[in-house]
Amino acid sequence: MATRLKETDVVMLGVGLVGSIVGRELTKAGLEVVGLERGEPRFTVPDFQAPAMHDELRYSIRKSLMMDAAKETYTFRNSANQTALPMRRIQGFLPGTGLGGSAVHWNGQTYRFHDADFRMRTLANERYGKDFLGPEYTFQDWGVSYADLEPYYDRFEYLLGVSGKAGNVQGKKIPGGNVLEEPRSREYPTRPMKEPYGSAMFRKAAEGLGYHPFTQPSSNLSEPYTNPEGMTLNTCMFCGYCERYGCEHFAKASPQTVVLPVLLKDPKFTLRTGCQVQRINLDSSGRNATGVTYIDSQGREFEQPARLVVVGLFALNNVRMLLLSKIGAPYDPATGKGVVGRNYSYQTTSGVNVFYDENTNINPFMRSGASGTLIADFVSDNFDHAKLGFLGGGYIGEVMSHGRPIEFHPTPPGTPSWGSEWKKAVVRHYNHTAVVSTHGSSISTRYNYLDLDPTYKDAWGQPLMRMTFDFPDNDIKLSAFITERAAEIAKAMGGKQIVASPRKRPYTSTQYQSTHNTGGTIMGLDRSTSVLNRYCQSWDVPNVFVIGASCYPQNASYNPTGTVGALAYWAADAIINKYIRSPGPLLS
Amino acid sequence: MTTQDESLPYDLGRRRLFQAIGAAGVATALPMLPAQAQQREAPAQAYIFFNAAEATFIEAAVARLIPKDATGPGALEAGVPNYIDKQLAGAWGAGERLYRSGPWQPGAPTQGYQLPFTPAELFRNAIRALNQKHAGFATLMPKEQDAFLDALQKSKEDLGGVPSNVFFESLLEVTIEGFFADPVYGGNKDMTPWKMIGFPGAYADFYEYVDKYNIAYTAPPTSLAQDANGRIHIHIEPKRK
Amino acid sequence: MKLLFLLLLLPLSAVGQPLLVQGCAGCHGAQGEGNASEGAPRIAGQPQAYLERQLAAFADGRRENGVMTPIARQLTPEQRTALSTYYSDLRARAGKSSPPAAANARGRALATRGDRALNVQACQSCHGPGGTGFGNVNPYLAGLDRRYLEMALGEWKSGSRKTDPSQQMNQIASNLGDADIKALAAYFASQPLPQPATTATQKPPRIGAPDERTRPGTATTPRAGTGVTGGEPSGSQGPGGSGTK
Repeated sequence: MATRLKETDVVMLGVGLVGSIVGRELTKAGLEVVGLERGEPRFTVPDFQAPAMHDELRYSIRKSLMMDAAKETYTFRNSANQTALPMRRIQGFLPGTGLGGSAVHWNGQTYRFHDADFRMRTLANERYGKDFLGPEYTFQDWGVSYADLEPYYDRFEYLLGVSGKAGNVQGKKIPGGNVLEEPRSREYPTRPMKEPYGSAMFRKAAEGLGYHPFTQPSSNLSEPYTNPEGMTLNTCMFCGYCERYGCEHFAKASPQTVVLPVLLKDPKFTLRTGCQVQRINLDSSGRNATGVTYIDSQGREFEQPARLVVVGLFALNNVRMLLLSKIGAPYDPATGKGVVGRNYSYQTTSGVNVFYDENTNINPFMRSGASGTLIADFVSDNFDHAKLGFLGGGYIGEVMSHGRPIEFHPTPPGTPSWGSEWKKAVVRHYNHTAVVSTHGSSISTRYNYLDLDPTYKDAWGQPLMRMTFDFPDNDIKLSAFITERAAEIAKAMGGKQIVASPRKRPYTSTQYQSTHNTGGTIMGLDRSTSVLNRYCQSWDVPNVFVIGASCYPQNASYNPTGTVGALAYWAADAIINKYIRSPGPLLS
Repeated sequence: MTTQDESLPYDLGRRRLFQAIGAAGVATALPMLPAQAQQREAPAQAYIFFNAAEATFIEAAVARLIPKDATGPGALEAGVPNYIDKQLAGAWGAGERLYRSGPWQPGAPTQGYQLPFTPAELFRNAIRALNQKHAGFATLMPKEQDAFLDALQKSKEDLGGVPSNVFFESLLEVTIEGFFADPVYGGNKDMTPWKMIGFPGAYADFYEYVDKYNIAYTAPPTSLAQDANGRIHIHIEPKRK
Repeated sequence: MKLLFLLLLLPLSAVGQPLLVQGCAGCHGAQGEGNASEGAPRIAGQPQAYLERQLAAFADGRRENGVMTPIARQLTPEQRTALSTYYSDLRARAGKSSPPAAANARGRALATRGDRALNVQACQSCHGPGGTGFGNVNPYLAGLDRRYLEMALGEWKSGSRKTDPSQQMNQIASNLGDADIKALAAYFASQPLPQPATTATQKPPRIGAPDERTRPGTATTPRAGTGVTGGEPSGSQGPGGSGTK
């Protein structure tokens, strides 16, 4: 029997990046917020300190900071004519858990999307005609433009202290930055990161081919910085233990280093960890949320009543929460009806290995999570797609972030996978290999979607979420094209051998590719094809807001976290300045 | 003859077996090994998971997966059998972070591991089957061992419920882990594998070096478990009062 | 003493290394073990690049010291390299030092764990296990004189010492109060000196061909590569927990 708690203004599901930012904004505006986090509290001191943190086995391989698949996981299939089976080990992506969420162990790569991403359908129709791609592609406009979000990107970047060099400030192009970016209102808060050797070779090769290389924007900072919340971050020391790890130096922007200590001091914010939210509760009309039910780490069930529910979980879990709560009609690919779970997409990545002679020391271990050099010449709609037959794009860069040997021991094709020849090749190539990566967009289709699994359950007895996904033709063509361009640059980097591996079907859940799972609770202008309006408010239950990469109608060329942060501020703004003044649907 | 191959729960059977039979009985209970196999360069081990037959197989197998050769020491010298033993005996071996609810159904390769076994069960089942069906792996010449492992890698022969390619892949993964993980975990002995490739280990501050191109970083690697004198502590020594 | 040192410097081309060292030894001890009463720290066994940087810093003002500044200004860059190499190659041995300070829990906590409220990380992450140093740039702190360490942290805190391009030391020291500075200094002073041949700082191999190019785009590119061969992404079928790809 659930114990009913005292009602609060807001219950915040998840205290990761979204929960921390929105929690802070709402408490600043005078609201009482209860933050429910399924995982445990953790802080820079003592939890992220070196040398214990620099343990590849524990954190990269056993994934100790990630979601525990023993308790909950996802089921997966490539297409609807297969039976989905559980990801008994989650290998393909890294859902975080614990205070601060995935933003504790992220790589710090921070970008802004293009207007062509936000208004993809409108602008692609204009430029290429409305029948450029077939009807199975369900890419859509977001309902917001880049101009809408620019001030919120700015806020987010100044919260984190992102290190970079602007390429376009209010329309003025600045060489040295990303001259192809959308206009920013001002420069980055801290200067760009140092450029490692492999990235410098990429820069030279890319320039030689007429491209516009720029330094990767980084939320692992280049210099000390105090943000508007009064939190101070330190300089990144290029330790090479970034993604999958917490940062010992207070140098990686995570909720713990940018806002949480301030939030946790506010008596209007109540943090409860070890709390697994089971569902959002609705009243008898089904159009009003009354709060949530959760089970704590001792197995006790509680009902937390609230006037407003904000869902800020890991993207996939946002979708599952709405499905379990029966908020919005679940998407059915057979009929094309329904919205929750629709437009699930991912990221289309590939790589080109550059094998050098023995005298070229790449030193891959001397890296930060975001210390690369890349080009945006093939990002989004920055190039003409008319003759290419696909939409979307990707960045190409030498964006290596580590040299940890269990994960990274490249060998040329033809090397056996074990034995003396393998060992010899590993020793020969470990410190003499650079990797050029491509990071491509992921278009939405009718067939890639999320719903509840009919068979498998989590430790609390609730259905797991089922992921049905494979790379569509569009993205396979995209990857082939972008990887060829990457290989051309790689060839000009002066190695002895180039090995290009464009993305191929089928998508496999067994290989780590990216944690950029997006969609499922998409925002949009039309309630028949979206779950949320442009303010991230549920069309169906107006006192529920859902914020995160699950809002993206399709995924874009760049890493999604910058836009998650912008949306968090954007939605918080809408809640404070529109919703609270006049609760109810913000759009009819 | 009682063998170690009987299905006994490992935490009960092995020790009780030794107690019941006594020292002399243990000698007859073990598979007889030719002298040459016993002269292997295996460091003295205290296995807590592997029984003697399993250990013999594992030592011989890892010695071929990453052999000692002109490039340098191999997995055996690096203590990889010890690493694997401790991993299988510990939480990972017992299935931490593994979704272990049924129903279990075979899936497509893209759906990953779908067997009901924990890593410990998988290794136990597969090695038991191997020792029954293809006994004497450790007595083969290295070339024959390589051919055997190659066949293991390619075939899907059922080994106690484990397809042989799945077993091989699991074995290769833990071997590479044990070779390159921090020595605190019982492998990567003396950090020799790290020295072979030039990986600096756990202490890592490269701010001043990252933009000095092409340098040869040859400072000795460090373990997260080493003390001020460079000694790596696998055991925690309580501070004396 | 200072005058004698300067006199020894005069016939620069004829004077070999040993005479320069005699000058240093006057304050820093015959084996570079330091002299606490002179305020001269132990320098034996410190990383070569670290020592060289300190000499350069005294010369150009990134460090200020009434004794070291004029001395450093008299040295040529070659002499700084020679002296720092000489002292780096020495083994740190016990010598005159301040009375052993009691190890203290606060100092140990800061050194090995840091302090959340103060935004300070563990010293060992950069200064190595037991404060025995790391690489060619981060000095060992173990066994240095307590008062010298206090003074050094004070210089970081005041900003008068500018020899850390990452500014970590400035940030860290400015977050520490006087009591914590004393505790840290006392802790490291009480730690055993780095032992010969077993730590990273003892005779560290020269890190790199010193090739201090920092400007992007100036990297040399080896000769153009050859063909492009395709590879397939692969995945694990085992019970995993490895994610090796």
